[in-house]
Amino acid sequence: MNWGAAAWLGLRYAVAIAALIVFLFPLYWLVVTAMKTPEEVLTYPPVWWPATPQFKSFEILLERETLWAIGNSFIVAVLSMALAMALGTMSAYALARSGFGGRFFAASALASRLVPPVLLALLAVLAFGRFGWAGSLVTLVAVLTVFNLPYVMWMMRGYFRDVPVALEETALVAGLTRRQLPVMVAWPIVRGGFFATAAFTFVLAWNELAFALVLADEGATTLPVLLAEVGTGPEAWGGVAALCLAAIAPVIVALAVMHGRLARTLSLGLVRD
Amino acid sequence: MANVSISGLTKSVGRVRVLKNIDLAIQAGEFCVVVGPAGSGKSMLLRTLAGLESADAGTITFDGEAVNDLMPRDRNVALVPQAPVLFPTLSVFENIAFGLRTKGLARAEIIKRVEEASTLVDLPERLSRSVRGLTAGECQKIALAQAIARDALLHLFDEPLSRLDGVRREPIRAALKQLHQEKEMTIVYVTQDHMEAMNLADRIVLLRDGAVEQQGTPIELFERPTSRFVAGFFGALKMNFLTGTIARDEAGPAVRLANGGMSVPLPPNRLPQNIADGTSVILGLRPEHMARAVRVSPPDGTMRYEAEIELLQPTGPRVCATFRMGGEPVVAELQAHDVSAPGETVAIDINLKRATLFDAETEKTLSPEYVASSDSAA
Repeated sequence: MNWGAAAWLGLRYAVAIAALIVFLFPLYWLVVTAMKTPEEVLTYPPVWWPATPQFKSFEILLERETLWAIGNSFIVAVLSMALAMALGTMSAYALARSGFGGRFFAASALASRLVPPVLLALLAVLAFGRFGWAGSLVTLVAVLTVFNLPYVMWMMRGYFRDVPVALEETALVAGLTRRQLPVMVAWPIVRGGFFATAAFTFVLAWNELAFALVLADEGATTLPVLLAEVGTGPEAWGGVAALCLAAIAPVIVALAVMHGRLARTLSLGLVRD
Repeated sequence: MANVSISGLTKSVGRVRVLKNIDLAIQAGEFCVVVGPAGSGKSMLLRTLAGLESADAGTITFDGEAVNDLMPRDRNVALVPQAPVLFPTLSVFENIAFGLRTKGLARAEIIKRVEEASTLVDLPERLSRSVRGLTAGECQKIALAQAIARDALLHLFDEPLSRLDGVRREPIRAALKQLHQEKEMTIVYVTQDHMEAMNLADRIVLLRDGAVEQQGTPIELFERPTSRFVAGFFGALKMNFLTGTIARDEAGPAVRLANGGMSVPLPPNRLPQNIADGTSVILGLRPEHMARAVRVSPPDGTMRYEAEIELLQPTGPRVCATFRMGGEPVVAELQAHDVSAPGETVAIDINLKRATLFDAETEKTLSPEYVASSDSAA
């Protein structure tokens, strides 16, 4: 290896390591904060590693309220993700093949994202209040499903459009019915994208605060809502950090899933002329 | 294998009429080649036969049964599309076997057919590999294998060799013709290549702007073109076209060439009686129908012409010699030893019995009946 190549490699590693430090610092800070005593949390210069690591802060994770919130978050995130994926994938196939919506699809799909979520949440409270449904988990699932649906449709439409029409025609001539096409031809190709989208949709729902804060009553509190309400101050910070770690864990798992699939989807490279 | 009949087939895409009132009858077991320039509607005709496009008007029948409203799978056709796309998640083997699996064939039968088909198209790679990273030519071979592995009523090939280079094309073309001779297959084969059409076809259908210009056996289209377009389309060497007018004298009818006033006598009965003197015509002479004079006097129906050679383009055993007749350049195909250098004067016998006359205005052949009857044995 010559000097130029070595320098280039060194530079690339230096940049990568710098980026890694920037991205991993918050995670590190959460972990050490959770292990600090209340006195160590706010001192300056900061304590980089607690003198005697404490694990008392993690006890908050075993409180009934916390477990309840984690459970709620899971129910809301999984159900709304599953519903949004099911409905969104089917409509995305139709959109991709019919061309319905055309140029306006982008604008209409993004429209709901242009409005502050709190505003939509308030409207949802009014609407569901009529039926006496405001505040329940069902309501939250329904609203998040609708809110995430455009994202799923947007992503999946793109994946379906990458499935060549000519491939479906080949399959039709080779003996498939039109109804078999989405499952037999498109699915194996979009599968990677589907799981990546599902993972991201899960994360969106899992982290969602505005709707959960406005819509959910006490029994339906989710983890982000609990985090927002747990309070501040030197005594509370350790607990907040522990809760944050609990909130991040599924996201990291989801990202790991997404990363593998995404890489595969991107490298799939359809075979065409 | 099926008798295919197409009548009054019309198809428009947007405002463009891609197929105009097409009538065709393809016999069971026939190798029918549809040929024509780009944009003449060849692919659309094939896609309509496959059921991927619906006809605006007209009927398509397979063995007498109308298939217009049938989905592709119910028509039982095999198709190699113009730009084949493979299933990226399947292996080469599974791509070829796709149309066999949907028909529920037994495992052993599928393996046998896939292997036969892949040998025929000369797929050297192992069949278990993924189709990712294959070249366009290999993808086309796989698509071709997929189609010929099937027992379809009708096999449709849309330029199936276009992505292979010339050297690799020849053996597969020969294998395809061999396969057609051995198996009972009805084939409709689309190509832009007039030589490929001549090579393969039992019957050629020449399309022009979405309409059938002429159909018949390869030799009919070559020797008895019904229009200047057909005459110009076929032939390894392009037909010479000379403009002139009809002039009758004591010796009989002749074509007086527009440039130079030279007169080309027409053999007896060559011209229908109803064509008046002074009619503008185009005289079509094939380079293959000219030869260096060997006898003392020219044979019957032949005109001897003292040609001053301007350009020589050897092709190996033969040479294309350019000279002028009435000021117009004319190409003759001679034996390589007939002429040694440009500037030489060579006596060339032009076989006028095999010349074709076109109406200068309509560019249609004058009296094709005569052409059809008198010289077909020659």
